[in-house]
Amino acid sequence: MNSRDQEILNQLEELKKKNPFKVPDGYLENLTDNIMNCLPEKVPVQEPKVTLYDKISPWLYLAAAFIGIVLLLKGVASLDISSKSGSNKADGIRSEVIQSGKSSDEEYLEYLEDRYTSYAMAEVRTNYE
Amino acid sequence: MQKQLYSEEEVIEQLRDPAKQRQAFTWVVDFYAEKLYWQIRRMVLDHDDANDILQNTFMKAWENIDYFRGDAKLSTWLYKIAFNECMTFLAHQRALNNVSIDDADSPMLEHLRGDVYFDGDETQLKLQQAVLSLPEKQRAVFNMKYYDDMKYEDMSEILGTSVGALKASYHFAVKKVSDFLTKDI
Repeated sequence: MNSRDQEILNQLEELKKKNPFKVPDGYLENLTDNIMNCLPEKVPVQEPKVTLYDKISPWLYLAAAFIGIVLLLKGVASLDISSKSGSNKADGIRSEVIQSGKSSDEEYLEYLEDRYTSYAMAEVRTNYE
Repeated sequence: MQKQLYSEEEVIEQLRDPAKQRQAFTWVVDFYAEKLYWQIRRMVLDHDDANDILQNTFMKAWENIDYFRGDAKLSTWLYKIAFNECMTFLAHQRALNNVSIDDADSPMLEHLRGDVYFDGDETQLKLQQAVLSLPEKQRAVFNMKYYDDMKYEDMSEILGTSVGALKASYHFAVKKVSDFLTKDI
């Protein structure tokens, strides 16, 4: 470091020793009080009471939801089974009608009458036996 | 609590107790307020502005004291709030005066010349002009090291800059200030 740089550093050190900034009279002495007087009082937050119901209610809701889902699925499943068996019967009859070559309502009724007659004859035979 | 008896561990413990919090905060203000005031004053130069920023700093600290976990020193935390408040203020001033960041020192210097609370001679005024010519963050680094001889590690926590970068920043700040002071000689 040359002498000029050292001289500048010395000058900076000297300048640091004198504070050119002033404050109003009594400012620093009353600083703490002035600051604290501006701070609001803190209201202690009361923690809400937690009851037994508050603790178990989420589990109750969960259980109720689970039961509801199970019942819904069972209901959907039973509906599905009954509609499948009904449709199977109707499909079987319609296929017989179509295979016979007859497609009109009258032909369908004729077919039902034939089937009913065979059931009635079977019943009569049973009664005589 | 007298300043020389201030114990940070004890104060932090009492700050966590709602019944003792306000008294403990009074000790914090009593211990740090003046130091913070001068740091702020050297950044913004005007007494009234510095007073406002100091009040805002402690107001924010008070509002958030429950969230202070004690991971960092209380002083670091307070200085960080004060620094951020200064930066916000200076940005607002630039916007109000409609000046660019490169030219922001001119209105402040003119104000300083006529300020009743500035008692410096021409050399002191020239030093302030030199410091004002530094970018704001570098100015903060210069003030913290030059006036308060703050440790680089503490500065690093406050400013969020590495120690190496801070050392370089201070070195160049001193160079710029020195060149400014000697340029008319």
